[in-house]
Amino acid sequence: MSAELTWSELKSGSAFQARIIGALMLREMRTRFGEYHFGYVWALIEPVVQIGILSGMFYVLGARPPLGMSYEAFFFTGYVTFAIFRDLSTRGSTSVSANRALLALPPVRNMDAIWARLGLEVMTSVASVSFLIAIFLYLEVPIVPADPLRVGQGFAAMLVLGAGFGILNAVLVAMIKPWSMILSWMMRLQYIFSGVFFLPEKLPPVALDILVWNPASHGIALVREGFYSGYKCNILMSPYPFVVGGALAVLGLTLEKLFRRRVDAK
Amino acid sequence: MIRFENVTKRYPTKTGMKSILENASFEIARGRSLGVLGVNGAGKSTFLRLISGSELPNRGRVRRDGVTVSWPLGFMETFHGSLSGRDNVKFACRVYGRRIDEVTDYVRDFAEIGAHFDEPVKTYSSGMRARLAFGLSMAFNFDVYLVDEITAVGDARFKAKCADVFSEKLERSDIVMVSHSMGTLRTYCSVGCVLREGGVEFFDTIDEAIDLYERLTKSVGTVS
Repeated sequence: MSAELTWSELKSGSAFQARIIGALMLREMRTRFGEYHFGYVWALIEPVVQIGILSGMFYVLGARPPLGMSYEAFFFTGYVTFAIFRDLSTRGSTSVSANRALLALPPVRNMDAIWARLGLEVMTSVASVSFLIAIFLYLEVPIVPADPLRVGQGFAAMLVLGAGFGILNAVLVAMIKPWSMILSWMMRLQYIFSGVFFLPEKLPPVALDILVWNPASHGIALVREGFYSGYKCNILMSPYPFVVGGALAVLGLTLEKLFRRRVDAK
Repeated sequence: MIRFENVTKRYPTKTGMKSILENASFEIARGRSLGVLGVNGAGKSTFLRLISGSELPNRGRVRRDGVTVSWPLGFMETFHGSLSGRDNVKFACRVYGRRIDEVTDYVRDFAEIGAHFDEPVKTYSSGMRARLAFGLSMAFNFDVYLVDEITAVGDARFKAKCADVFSEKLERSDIVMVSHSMGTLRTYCSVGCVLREGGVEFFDTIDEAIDLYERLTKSVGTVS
């Protein structure tokens, strides 16, 4: 088959696939953000509200943040970073199952639906992080990072990790129904244990020995190292979340290829 | 020309793997309409989905070399319930690269579902869905239309309109049809094939295919 595939066929094939992914993204926007466009607004203000509530609670408790002077900044680096991973993983997970009917059109493939949803989720994440930064700058919350490049690397790690897990989840949810429940529990545990609220190196060694293998913790640690000047997280292995994300993606793509007929909605 | 090359297709059932095609190679020629026959469970609907490309063979491949093929019209639901009829039509236009305004106008006028066109499809009656689906498939000019047990919808006038548009299409397009009604097959198809025991047998006339099918159903003892 590959021998017969000419360059122009490949090019028209990609244009064809791009058109379908574009169509799916427009369809995703309709249902992701709802009919009345309030969904767009909510996607932007949700992190602001979350960080506001979390910071408010901790200020009331009267504790000082584990790093720096402001809880807003601590949760910005923790929650927002975590949310990129969580949103890609969970939103990605339903991309095939939620599009069953549309996948019945012969030109539309499972992978198109997955790429479309991940693409939209990346765009949403970029928009909501940008909006959050703008709000903080306006409110004069000190959120200028010491090393923006390293912060970007941390966000990128979470994008790769979330996209990889999202692909795998999409295939698993389409294959085994209860996976979506398992996933939602995994995400709740992740929220508690990946270091949104604490610094992993401050944990007792017993807990750290286990939690150090959680790739999401490393993404958050990367962002915090870049954000706070002088902070070094001694457990951080910066390539780790990228490697895990890549491995999950490869696993998901392989499963999709092997079990395409079973995953097929058609 | 639609060409099956060494195609094997099996699907799991409660009693084990069921084989529809075993290493089958054949061509479906253009210019003649094909009626597909086979006893219940022979895989007629799967056969149509293989032709359309919405289902993949376990082995081998199906080539459509430049021939545009519809999705199987009839049973299959291709609409997203939360989207309006209009948005579903727009989606199909984008997928098939057709002009949105032209197709949307055509389908809206054809389906005659009024303001429902802008309501979510999940609020439709099955008749409304069928009207929309039929209108959409008629808006695109496919070379080959796949029809899986199409049932007429609407009142006599609407049925007549559907039949008119459909015959008009068939002047330029072919049809591959699955139906339990021998009358319908004789009306629309000139050639026939019978699916059985992992293979397909082709006949130059639909009547020969129907003869074999009727002998098969008698010997198997099912009336279908």
